[in-house]
Amino acid sequence: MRELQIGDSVRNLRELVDLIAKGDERLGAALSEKSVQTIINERVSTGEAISDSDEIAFLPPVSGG
Amino acid sequence: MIRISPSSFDPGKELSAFEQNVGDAGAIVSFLGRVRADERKAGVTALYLEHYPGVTERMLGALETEARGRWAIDEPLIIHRVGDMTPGEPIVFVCVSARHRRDAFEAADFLMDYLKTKALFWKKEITSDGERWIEPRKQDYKDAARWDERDKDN
Repeated sequence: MRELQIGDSVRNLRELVDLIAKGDERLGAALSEKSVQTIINERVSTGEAISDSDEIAFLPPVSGG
Repeated sequence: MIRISPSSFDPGKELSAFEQNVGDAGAIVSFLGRVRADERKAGVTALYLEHYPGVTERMLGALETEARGRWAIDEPLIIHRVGDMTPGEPIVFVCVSARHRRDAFEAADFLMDYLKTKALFWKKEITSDGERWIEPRKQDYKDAARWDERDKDN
């Protein structure tokens, strides 16, 4: 587990992934995969904007059925 | 109706119960997905499925609404297992009723494509060689893309 300080400059998911990638390039690349779904506040994200206190989940490729 | 269950179910009984409640629908299509013991690899001894409680259910509810907007169908039944399963056990069961068969066939196909590629479930195979998380096949994504292509055509 690693903590990350997110400043005011991070306003969207792309910037968040870029920030994560700075600390861990492999993780940043993995989170950029098309098959990774993003959930913001327990809803599938329809936009990129994020704000303070949002809960963001990056989900690995799904496989139901 | 959507049911995500850690317990096994009897597809025959579920189909029979579904049939009792479809009114005057002229067609019922059902699909049953079962755990396969894949012979191409080390035999699958078990399967483990996870979901995202609350969020998965909400997404499936939206899926059901979408299917009913696309086709003239009644409320479908979607049962999806989570937890530990063994080869031969049912994983997923979809039932769709409609006045006409084409709507029922297509809606069931659509629901399954979505369940394979977009619904929030994660599947792990346990084999004699170890464990691995499963991802959809390229064909699964192709199948799901058919519905988007159809939207563009219309």
